[in-house]
Amino acid sequence: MPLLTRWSIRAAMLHLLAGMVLGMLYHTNTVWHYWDTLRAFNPVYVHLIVIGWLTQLIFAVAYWMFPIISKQNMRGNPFLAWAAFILLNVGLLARALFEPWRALSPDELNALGLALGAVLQAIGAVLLVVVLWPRVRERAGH
Amino acid sequence: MPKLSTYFIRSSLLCFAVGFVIAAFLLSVKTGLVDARLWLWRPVHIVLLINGWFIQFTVGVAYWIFPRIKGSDRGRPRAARAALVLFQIGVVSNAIALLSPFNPAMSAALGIAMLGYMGGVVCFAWHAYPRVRAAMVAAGFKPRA
Repeated sequence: MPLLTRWSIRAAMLHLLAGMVLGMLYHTNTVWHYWDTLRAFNPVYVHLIVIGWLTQLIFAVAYWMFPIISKQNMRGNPFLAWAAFILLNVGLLARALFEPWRALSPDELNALGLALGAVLQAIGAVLLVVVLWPRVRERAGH
Repeated sequence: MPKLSTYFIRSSLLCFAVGFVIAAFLLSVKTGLVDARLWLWRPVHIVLLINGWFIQFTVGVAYWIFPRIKGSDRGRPRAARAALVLFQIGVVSNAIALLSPFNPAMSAALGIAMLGYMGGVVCFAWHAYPRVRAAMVAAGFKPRA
């Protein structure tokens, strides 16, 4: 299993844990109303699970298991793959921090942070496609 | 990886990239930096990422990885090919229908989308059933006569 896959799966598991805990707190709070701040975490916990866990796990396993490009260039440019991993995670963490913050008390700083998170995630997603696209092939290269 | 899986997975990767770019604009709406009407694209973002990305990717990988009946026999490949076409029709027409706030006439595409999805699911299940059944029999399951 490549190093990037190991780190990606570890990060995915952390996102799953964070997303499930936040989701549990959010939903119990809708019933018992014990902490008003938790209402700001509604879209964030879903994205931690759907992007941080599901999408990242797919990327990690596809990067490992999809047919190789060639024996000399097995998984394409590793710099791009690491960039996709870092941008997706940093973008998602920025979103997880700034989106609830902005929902609670909007200011210029959290607007900037949220925009940055959006751009980083979009670039990370495009890089993920660039990395995986040449690996979607009928036969492994020689 | 069979050719059909490459089509499913490439289509899912395109949906993923487009869905994520739309997501970036949606998040920017919350910053007040872009026009708030972009928020009307939110349902398209959800459809592209759930039906276009997750479902098509898993179906593509399932077609590749599911146990084969014998040798390279993948059950009913024509049904799987029909599923690919129907899923494409479903995703595209669903995205068009969800943009009906911009043009109400687009909502008519929703019926086509639902037929595409249902047909796609039925065709893929029809293709996969003999593969799953053969694997169960090989594992010792005794089907009723």
